Amino acid sequence: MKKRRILFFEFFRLGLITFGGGIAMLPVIKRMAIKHQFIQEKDWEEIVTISQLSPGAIAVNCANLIGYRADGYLGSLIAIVAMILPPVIVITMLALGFEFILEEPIVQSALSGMFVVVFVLFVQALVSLGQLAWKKLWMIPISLFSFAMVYFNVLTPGMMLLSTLLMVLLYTFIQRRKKS
Amino acid sequence: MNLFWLIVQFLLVGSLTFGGGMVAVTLLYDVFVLSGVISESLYVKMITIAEATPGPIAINLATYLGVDQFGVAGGVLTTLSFMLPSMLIIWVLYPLYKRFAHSPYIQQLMIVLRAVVFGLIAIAVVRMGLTLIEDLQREPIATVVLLMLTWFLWSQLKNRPYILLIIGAVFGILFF
Repeated sequence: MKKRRILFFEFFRLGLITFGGGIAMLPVIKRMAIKHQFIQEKDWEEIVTISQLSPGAIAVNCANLIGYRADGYLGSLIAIVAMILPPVIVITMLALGFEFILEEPIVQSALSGMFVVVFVLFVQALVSLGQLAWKKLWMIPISLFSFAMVYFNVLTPGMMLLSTLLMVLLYTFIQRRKKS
Repeated sequence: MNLFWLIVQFLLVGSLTFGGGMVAVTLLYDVFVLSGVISESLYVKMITIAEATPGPIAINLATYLGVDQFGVAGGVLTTLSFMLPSMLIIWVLYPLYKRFAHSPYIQQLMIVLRAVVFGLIAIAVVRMGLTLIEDLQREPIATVVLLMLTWFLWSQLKNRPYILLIIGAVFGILFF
């Protein structure tokens, strides 16, 4: 019971204080999870790999796995709900209040300024992803191809991702058949 | 458009958001802006607010779109629908992980998906850049100064992006 309470409050706290989500959030989650012995140091790499392999927000996937390690399916649910509760509350309040606040000139100006910062954060995230994704040079044309197909509305982004999935699995299957 | 359609869309986006939540920005643009449900300028505001508030950007965006369309219940349902597929997939994957950890299928998939995801996030960046160029025509000097300031401060403050966002907000109030 105490373990569940700690699980809830720790992930609630992380959901409340961490911005941006994703990779930036991982070291903080790791420190917390090991401190409370939800996981051990050696489990971490496996948790990060599965979090990135699965669809969805990486931080939420991480919460799911740590919760599961701590207390099974119920632990998963507690960790996930705790983590998404603060953003859901904050955004709901903002979205409902924004109807009239959004029209205020001062808020418009603040948002314009923040948008410039958000743009830089996105570009930087893209740069670090590029360093990972383009380790092999033949990945560059794949990125350009997917960019062009979706940007010029040949494929929806969902179709692009789905066909990538299917084609890679098929390609690997054929390669393996050839070898054996 | 009804609540059922909204939930289905978020289940789909939740199943296809590979390589981190940022891809959801491009996926949701396709669902909401290209289909004309919301305007591009509202979407840009949503992205700004989703990034400027705590929590993963995909979750924030899901909640915002849901609340915008169907109020509080809409926000809760879209967020849960976005999260549900990944939660179930992880519950299935985790016990099997040891068996497929070194499978060539997974290795290949990770590498190629990452490259595709790069292309898709680049689309979101280009679209935001185009909006920024429009803003640039209104306040050219202030925008460029803020852009350069953020760019140079980023390496020092990347672990505390909220400081950058506060700088942006103050700068915006003073000069935009």
